[in-house]
Amino acid sequence: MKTYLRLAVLAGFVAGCSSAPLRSPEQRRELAKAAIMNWYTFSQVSALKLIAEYGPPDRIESSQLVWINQGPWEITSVWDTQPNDDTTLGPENLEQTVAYPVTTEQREKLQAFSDKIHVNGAGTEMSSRYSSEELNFLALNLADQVVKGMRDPADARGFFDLTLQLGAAGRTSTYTQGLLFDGKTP
Amino acid sequence: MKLLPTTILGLSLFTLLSASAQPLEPGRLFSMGFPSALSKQEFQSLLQRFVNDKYQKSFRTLGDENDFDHGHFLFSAQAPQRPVAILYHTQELTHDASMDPAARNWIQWVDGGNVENAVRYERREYPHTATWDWFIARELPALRARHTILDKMLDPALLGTDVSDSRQWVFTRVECGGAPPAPGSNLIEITLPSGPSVCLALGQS
Repeated sequence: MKTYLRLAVLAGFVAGCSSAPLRSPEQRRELAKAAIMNWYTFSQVSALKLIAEYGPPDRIESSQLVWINQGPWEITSVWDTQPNDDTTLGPENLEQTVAYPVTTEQREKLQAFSDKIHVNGAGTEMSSRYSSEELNFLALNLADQVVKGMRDPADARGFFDLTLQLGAAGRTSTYTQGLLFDGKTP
Repeated sequence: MKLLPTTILGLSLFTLLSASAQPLEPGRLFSMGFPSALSKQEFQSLLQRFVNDKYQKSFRTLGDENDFDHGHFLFSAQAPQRPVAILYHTQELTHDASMDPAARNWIQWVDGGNVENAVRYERREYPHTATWDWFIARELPALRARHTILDKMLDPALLGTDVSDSRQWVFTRVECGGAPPAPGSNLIEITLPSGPSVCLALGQS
């Protein structure tokens, strides 16, 4: 039965259906697994972890999976990308978004902190794009502190790097374990 | 001791932590989540024993995040109030040619206080689930590069217990002004084998 479903799903892709209207969680799970079958391993393991954590995605495309309102995130999006050797963090193929009002002045501060932090045009959402959920937590928690004036951008960058090094050395940080702020009320 | 270039950043965080590591009012330690079935004095004795054993062999600067300032209390499901062991990580950001870079992870058994290299308890194989596969592909290489063993990398069968919970506690060097730590405070005092005493503030991060 699963084989038939996967074939149907793949046939849907071939026919150009970029986002099939399948509704049951089981159908979406099968579709998602079929979609990532040929992804790079690095991307595939990320997608499978997110499926295990948040259930089947809400939007499924041949090279991208999207979850809406899962966990603390408004949007979680993972996509297939080729591994690179530029960074030990791995390719930045996971973007996660929270509702977070940002003024023009705050936007400039955030740009000075990290080019992986994005604010939407309306200034109502803030996103982080790194290789893991833990790094997105870290980046957004620091972005929140930059916005609130608790850290300047340079200090936040230093803290980010230091937290990574200490993490590799065995020390955990609350900054990587979850959001330390309420996204809707900075 | 040779420090990584990023130690400058480390020192800034150390300074920040030191500044915030003020002595707490009596009784606050347990309200912060310190294990209720492990007294501060017991932990002080355990850490003293570890320091006696590993000072200048596995670390040089106690209470400094660049070298040695934290341990992970490991709990089993059978006894969730009292840790069965503590996993220490030493040489956190330091590289010293005179020390073995692989000697960074230590298990100290709470009952008895014996210290062992955690390498002997490291998993040889990992379960195959989406979460573990991600860990193996994405996190394990960086950890291995730093010779780091996390609590989740310990094999329950080798340990003889299934670690159901792990809580990190940090001990940051502070000035005590020569006075012994008050019994109910978050401060402990460790005597280095070289003679001087070091005052440490316990905290969770």
